[in-house]
Amino acid sequence: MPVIQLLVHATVGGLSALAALWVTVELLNVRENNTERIKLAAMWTFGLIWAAYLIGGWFYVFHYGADKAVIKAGNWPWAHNYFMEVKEHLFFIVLLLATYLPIVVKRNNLLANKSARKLSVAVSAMIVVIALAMEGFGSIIAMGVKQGLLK
Amino acid sequence: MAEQRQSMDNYTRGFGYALIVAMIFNGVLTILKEKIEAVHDVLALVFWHHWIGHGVVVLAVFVILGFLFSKSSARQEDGGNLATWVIWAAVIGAGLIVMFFTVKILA
Repeated sequence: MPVIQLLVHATVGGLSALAALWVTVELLNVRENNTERIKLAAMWTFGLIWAAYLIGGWFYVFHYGADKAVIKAGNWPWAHNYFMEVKEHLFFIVLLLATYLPIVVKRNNLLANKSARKLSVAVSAMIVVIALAMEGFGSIIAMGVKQGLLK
Repeated sequence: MAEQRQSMDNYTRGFGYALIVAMIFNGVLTILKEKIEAVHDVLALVFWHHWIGHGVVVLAVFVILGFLFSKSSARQEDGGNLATWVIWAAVIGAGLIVMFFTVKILA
């Protein structure tokens, strides 16, 4: 089951980047008829990032040890020593941003308040960038395991 | 559409400040945990796994400071500035982590 768990983690993470992109695009085209959709998209972003955190965290704490040993003994030890180390700590930034996003979009009038819109765009756009970086890092770590197994 | 630059509501402002602190604190805690074994060990001892402890502490900083700052009578901050500060805090917080592990792996 750990493999399925890891695939779900990556899929949910990818969907969270799409949800944050959805928020960004809606914010850049804010109208009276899409303010509720922005709130919905922000809640999806929040939920998906948290799901990715909990599922990935469960895998990391209970199953990653075996993968780590394989990576470190393989041809790409830096897949763990650099990319996994950065990923596991950088994730908290995207988790904080995703937790903050619904606060901004739900508690401010996005139609009238330019400052709130600017802040929301900044937060959602950073979630897109970091979530995509997490996906890339995850791919490198998976390749690190493959390199270890092929050695 | 009548739009204007407006002050943020208390929770947006308070949790915005907390977000800034928490993102930079996350970078600092990462370095402390890597450089000082006792910090790593205390987190692992109290929370069973150092990474779980790291997450709990960072989220606690965000939530506790968020409520404290929201209740405080801090000056009304323009949201435009808050966006700039949040971006810089994310860059600094992420930069600390990336730079630390870059230096570590090159050493």
